Amino acid sequence: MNENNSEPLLKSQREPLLQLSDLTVDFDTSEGWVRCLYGVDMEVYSGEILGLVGESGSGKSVTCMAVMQLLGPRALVRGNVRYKKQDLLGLDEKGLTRMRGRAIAMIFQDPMSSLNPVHTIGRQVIESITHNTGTPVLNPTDTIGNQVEDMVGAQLGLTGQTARKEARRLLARVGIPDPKQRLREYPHQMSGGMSQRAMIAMALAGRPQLLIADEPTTALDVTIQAQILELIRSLRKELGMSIILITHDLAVVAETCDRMAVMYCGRIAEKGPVKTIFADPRHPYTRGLLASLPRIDRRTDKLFPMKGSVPAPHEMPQGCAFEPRCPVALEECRLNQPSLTIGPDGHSIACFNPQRGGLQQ
Amino acid sequence: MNTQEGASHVSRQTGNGTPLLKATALVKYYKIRRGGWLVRKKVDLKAVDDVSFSVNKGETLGIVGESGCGKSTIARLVLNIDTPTSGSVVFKGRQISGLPPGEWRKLRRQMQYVFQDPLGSLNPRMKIFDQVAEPLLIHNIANNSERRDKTAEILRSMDLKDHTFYRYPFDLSGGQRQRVVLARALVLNPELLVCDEPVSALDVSIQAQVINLLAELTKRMGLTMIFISHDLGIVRHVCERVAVMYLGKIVELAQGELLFDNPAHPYTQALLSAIPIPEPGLKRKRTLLKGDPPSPVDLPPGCRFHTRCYMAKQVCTQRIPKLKPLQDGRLVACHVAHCE
Repeated sequence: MNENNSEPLLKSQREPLLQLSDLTVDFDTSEGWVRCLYGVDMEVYSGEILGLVGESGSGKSVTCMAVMQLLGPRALVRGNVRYKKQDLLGLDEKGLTRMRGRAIAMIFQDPMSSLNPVHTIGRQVIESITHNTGTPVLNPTDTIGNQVEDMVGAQLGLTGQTARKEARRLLARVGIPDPKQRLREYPHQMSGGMSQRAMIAMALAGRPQLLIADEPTTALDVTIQAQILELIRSLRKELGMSIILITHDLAVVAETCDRMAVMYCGRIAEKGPVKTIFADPRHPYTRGLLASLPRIDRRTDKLFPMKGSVPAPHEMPQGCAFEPRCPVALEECRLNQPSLTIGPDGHSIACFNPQRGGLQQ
Repeated sequence: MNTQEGASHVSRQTGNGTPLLKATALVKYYKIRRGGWLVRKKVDLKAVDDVSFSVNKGETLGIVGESGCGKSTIARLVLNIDTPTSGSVVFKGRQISGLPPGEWRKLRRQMQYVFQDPLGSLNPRMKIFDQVAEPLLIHNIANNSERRDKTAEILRSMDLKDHTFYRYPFDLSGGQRQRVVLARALVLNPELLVCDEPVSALDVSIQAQVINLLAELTKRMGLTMIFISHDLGIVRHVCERVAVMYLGKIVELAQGELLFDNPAHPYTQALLSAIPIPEPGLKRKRTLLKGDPPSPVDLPPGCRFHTRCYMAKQVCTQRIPKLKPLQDGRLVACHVAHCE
């Protein structure tokens, strides 16, 4: 689709496409300020799939919402978010509208609730096309009926007819059979997998270079999950897009991503190439996650769960957030916060006592 | 009917004594309204269609399948939350479908269940201790002090600390809540425990805690369990025998090892190959299914899987395959697998 982007696959230039440095997010809640992200450093290179893993509440979604600036007025976002040398946090509303959907697009966990139930798929895909291809001059969401839609379409780059053609092409691209018919249907007439494909089609409309997929397959069945992941991989391959895949499933990361970042309580615990981390996990949290996974390809006699549970945001320990659950915690861990140290091969660990060697399995 | 033959075969195969629970030719159709606003008609949604299985004492049977395949409906039929359209459930040699409510109340002591969402299963305005003690009160078991001891004992055996006993559900974490639900189910010392997606709502590290606890308890108490889940990794870890369902029918029923290492039904093969394995760079043979499962209202003729099956033949579109044993003892409902 993106013809002028003939980037060879996976040739990550040293200059990252998206760079987050020291990203901190606080929320103004009724119980006072609660910190959700504690200085996250992360980078996405062009053409790569970055897996962002962690348990619920670890801050993986907040990180991406902060990039898109979808957190709303009660969130205080500080730090630095650079997309191709442009500072995203400094953008005004107009700049943000231009960025969202065209530079960076996002899809969410539950496709059914992301789509508007009272409008046809076609209308919604076309809206995304008209909105993200020309110069946005007015808000086409409050128009009624096809005629008005055509008028709006004509004002912005793509006319109704071409926009509809483009919509059919996009739906076909994401593997929806019989796109012409599907454009006329409503979200409730489509299955979960089909709706997620439609969401991806909408995200592709603005030809973004970065797609953020927030748990795109969590609500779907495994056979459908396999289809969607296959689609995501093929999009990266054909369009040279970068993708951030947020997931809690380490197995999905192992099969889909090039690099990964493990988050715990608003911080990055470990990040690096997927192969390196799976072969040699260093952070006790990553090791714990891997040891507690039941697997279908071999019989395990016992799982090795981590003790305790994730601390609530307002009762964070003074030192390392993982210290209360950590089997190899030191005295230092209780007092101080380990910083993310960059090792060879870009494998970074935030731990005072990184481990080595095989897991208990 | 062939399914009957299949069910008896299963109990023979696993051996040890009589089955605790036996379901024969279970059918559940839900009537739903379909059509435009002028012409409304009622059609059948075939949630469970002619399913037979049995669970032996002390055994864990896993039921797996994608959403909408009828696995939860089976749990509801077994526990008499829904009455089957036809077919029967026999528990300890006694026909239990269609028993009067009074009889059911006595039976419920022996059959307990755990659902997916622990917060939804707990009363938000009742303290943990009282909720776990309530089944004892309802069934009029033990006097006050015994009841207290019993409740405290079961809560402690769930690794719940004493200071959590007098808290409310919202004070607890997801893992703790699910352990409370388990405690409440087990305080009556049931013989059969039906778990419907017990850990799906929990994080990975917490899942492992609950699963280990469940495995240990079933062993210690000699519990018989029906374990329903869409997570095949967990099912492999927990269950001895596994039934794979597709659109209201069991397509394969086999010993866990056999099923996971060497699936016979094309759907089982596709399902297993769709599950990602946490090992980067692993080369696997992938059977990617095309399309979505058909709607349980408009089922295709013949084998229900033939629309997505990569091995489908002419016969699959015409005749419904029956659940029959293969040479290695497992039951498979597939024309192609039986030809080979």
